[in-house]
Amino acid sequence: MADALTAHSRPYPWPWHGAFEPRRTALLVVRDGGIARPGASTEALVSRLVQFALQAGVTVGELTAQLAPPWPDFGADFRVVRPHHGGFTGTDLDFILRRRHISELIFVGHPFELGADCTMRQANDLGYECLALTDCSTGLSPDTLAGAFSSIQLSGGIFGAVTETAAVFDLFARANQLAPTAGAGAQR
Amino acid sequence: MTIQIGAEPYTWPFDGGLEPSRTALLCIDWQIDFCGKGGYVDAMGYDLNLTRAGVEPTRKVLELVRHVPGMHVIHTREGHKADLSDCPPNKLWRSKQMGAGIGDDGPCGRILVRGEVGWDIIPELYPLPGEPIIDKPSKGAFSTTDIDLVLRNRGITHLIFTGITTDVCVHTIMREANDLGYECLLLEDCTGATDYGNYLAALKIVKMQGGVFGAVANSSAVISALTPLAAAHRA
Repeated sequence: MADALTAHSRPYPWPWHGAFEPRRTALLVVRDGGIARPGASTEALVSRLVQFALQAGVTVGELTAQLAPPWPDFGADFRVVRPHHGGFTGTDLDFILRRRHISELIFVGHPFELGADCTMRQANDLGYECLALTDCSTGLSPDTLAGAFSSIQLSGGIFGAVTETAAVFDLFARANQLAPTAGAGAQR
Repeated sequence: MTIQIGAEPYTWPFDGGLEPSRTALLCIDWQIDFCGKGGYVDAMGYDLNLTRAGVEPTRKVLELVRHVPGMHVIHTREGHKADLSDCPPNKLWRSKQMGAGIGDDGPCGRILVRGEVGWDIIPELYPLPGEPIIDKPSKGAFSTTDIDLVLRNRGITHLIFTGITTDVCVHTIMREANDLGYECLLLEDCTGATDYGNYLAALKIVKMQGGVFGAVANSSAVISALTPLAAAHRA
């Protein structure tokens, strides 16, 4: 596909159909309790990613655990309080996404292995096309985080694909012919 | 007699003793497509020894559970309708990228299609009449099938997990069940993954934070806990 609009990602260029559209995409920041809380530099990277996504026309959603301590407000389009690990269980997340005609989801997880992984598995089963971001997520431990990202990539991308934040900045910029400086600069 | 199972990170179940009538042994996706010669996983080039590792321990537990009065056995099976109308387009595309497309003809019939040879459960662990089989078009089971209703109808609140693969279908179903309040136990030697590192990571995640998705035990602990119940029945 010569004119495919995709991110550089593993195990395949995301999204699978080769036609990324900001308005059909949501960036979901999934946060649990106080554990594996991101450091200042990761927090700043997520914040820049959120701002660039909003600028690019990508919907931003915040999925927070019911018992989570307050997180800084980063101006998400919607916020879902999760009573469970999986963001689709006992919430109207599916309805919110469908109403906006969103079919592609980009996941950031703090930590990734709990709420984000549960929600991405549910989303994939429901047909959403999912991408996980490694470098702006945090992990419970290095081996469980590596295992979570490895599992996604097996069997041709069993739950979707994974990549780093810079690839998403680049994708958003190309989709909108925006200057990718806000994102690319943040990576270096 | 209180039945408890030595498990990590806590003695299972959390709420006292195991009650057979409220407990099911879940056998997840023990299909030729995932652990048999010529099936889907074999066609993708993965090592079948890894996904077959849990077959014999599971067979022993299954045999025992079938002799425990009142205890339930539930099977799941992943597969799609013949016209693939229940297969998400991205799932179909990914499988074709691997050269083993869902619905394509293989040595065991059409890959992951209901009714085909490769889709069915291996003979060693084949369901007996009366043991429900949940057919699912997905990795998980709760958002796409009637499994929750089947479990509720039988009064099942506790689930003991066996099956393949650990990090994919087993983990997804265990996460869903845990969210809905089922008390879950995963048998470490009755499961396997296509990647050994991912198998280890999946076991570890369950046990973190005091058992975030339940507990993990060896099948020997279940066998010693349940054997008196089965023996009393047989005697």
